[in-house]
Amino acid sequence: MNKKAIKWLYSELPELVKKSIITADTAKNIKKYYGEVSVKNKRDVALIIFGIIGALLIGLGIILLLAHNWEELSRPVRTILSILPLIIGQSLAAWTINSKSDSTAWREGTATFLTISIGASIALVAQTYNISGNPPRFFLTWMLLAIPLAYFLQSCVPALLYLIAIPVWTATYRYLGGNQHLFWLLLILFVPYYWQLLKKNRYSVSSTLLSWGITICIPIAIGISLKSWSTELWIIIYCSIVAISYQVGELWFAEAVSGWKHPYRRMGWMGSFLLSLLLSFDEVWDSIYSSNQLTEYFPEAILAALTAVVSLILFGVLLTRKKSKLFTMFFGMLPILATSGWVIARYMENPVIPAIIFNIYLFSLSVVIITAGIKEMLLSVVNIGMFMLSALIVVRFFDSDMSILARGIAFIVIGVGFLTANFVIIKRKGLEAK
Amino acid sequence: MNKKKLTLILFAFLAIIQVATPLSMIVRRELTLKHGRAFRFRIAPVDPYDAFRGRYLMLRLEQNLVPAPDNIKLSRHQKVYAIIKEDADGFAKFDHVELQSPDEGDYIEARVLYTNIQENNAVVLKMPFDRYYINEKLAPEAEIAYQNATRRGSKEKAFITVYVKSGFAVVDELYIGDKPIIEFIKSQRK
Repeated sequence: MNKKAIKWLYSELPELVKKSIITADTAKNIKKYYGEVSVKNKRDVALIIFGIIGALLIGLGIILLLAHNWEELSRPVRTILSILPLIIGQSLAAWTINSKSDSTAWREGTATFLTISIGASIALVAQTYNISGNPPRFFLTWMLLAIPLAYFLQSCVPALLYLIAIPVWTATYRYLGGNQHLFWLLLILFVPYYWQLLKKNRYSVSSTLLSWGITICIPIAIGISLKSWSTELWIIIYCSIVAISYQVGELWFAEAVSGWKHPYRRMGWMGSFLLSLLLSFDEVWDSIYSSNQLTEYFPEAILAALTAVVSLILFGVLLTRKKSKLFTMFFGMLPILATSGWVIARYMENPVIPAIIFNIYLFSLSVVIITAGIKEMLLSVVNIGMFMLSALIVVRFFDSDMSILARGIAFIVIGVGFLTANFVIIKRKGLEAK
Repeated sequence: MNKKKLTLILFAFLAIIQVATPLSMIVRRELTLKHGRAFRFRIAPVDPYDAFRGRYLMLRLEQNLVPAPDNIKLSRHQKVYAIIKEDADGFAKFDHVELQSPDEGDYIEARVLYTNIQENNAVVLKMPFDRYYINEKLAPEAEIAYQNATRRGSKEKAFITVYVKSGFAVVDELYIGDKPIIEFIKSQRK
């Protein structure tokens, strides 16, 4: 149930009791059934945000202050100074755990400050002793020391910073010759905290922020950890995770009230658009059949199979559960189309057919979105569909040998379509309002 | 024991680890500075655009290539032990690299940065020291002094002192001529 609906219901209850539509007992039972709606008022939210920003600024200020490198200070003094912010941060955190554990502002604020202090302290020691720059090691130490704060202080800032830092770490580590698959091991440290947040309230601000983090972090991490892009297995992997993202959003995050609280669904949409646009070029498929033996890319093959199967299972579940099956079909088809395209390109050595499939896919997807938007009278949806359609047409014109005249006419047609659709909907909405 | 107490106790453990990390970095270096043997390494001329980044000076040793044993093939990022020898002027040089840490003599643990193609069996090493941090106000002057000193044929040569113990190296000071860089800058001002 979403909070807004419950709040509305609660506001109606006194009126309903007064008009004897329900009894006072029933009203009480309803309240008991749905439980308290904890409404964070605006002041609390502002306090949390200012707490985090304040802690960030002070922490960064301390780093700069010490990074000035006071040559007058002796080494022992510098040592104490570099540990001091850490001790202050820890004392604040301990005090928060002990007496302010119900204040989100204190928890997030002290966690932010302590997280920065850890990095500051290691960096300052490095400065004092002229330690050479080793970014992966510095990042890793910092993150491993900071991620427990998410658990101890029930704070999402360290978890979010961790999600940002581990792909960066993986990339630099791989560049220096390390094993990039360690990323997944590091991700495990984050999962229990996220899971626990979701169990509490999957639509809270913290959960949503971390969901965005995860939906952005995973595709990047997969990109970094792929051994090679040359087998083109990434096509299947990415099509599958984009589909999974949408399916997860539909299955478990469907009741979010506002748009930004739909990270999984939004990333699914965005990803499917960008991927199918990319896959509508036959050059992408062309590179497949020249590539190496499949056995050389063993871990990628497993990942491709695994993600495709997971997506198919979720597709099946959605088909049995959802009433409107149109978009479910579109996203469920994505890994299937990608796999068949890959097979056709690799074994039949034909890059044109898969490209045509994805042209048709993107074309029909945008047409379906536009019609859905017109039906629901949602201008934003119509425009998204229009945008997808125009993007497809624009890229097709740049890689085909069509005459300038034909391109000109096509652009005019799209433009007119855009204007007409917008005009019609605005006018109809105006009529409805009257 | 209630949950809050347990959390606090566990947090205390975390806090100890958090403090222990920078402390252990400090202790290891202090021990090396105290008990290690000091070596002087000449610094090479540096690309002027690369010499100064932010608030530190890039250090590059004069000796670029280190001979490697004939019979082994080294790869990038591989860990090696660079054996130190002192020349007649009292400056340190790397004699050769080994794959196992030697039982005696002084050496520095380093990684292979490049294997040299022209000269077989010589490698470029990534040293565990490549920076000298400096006060932000003094940095511009230091940069000029450092560049002049490392220029070929310049009167005042630059070198660093490095303390070495069991393969671990800590940079102590950057000298120009016979003065630490800060003193050198101050003497130039007069």
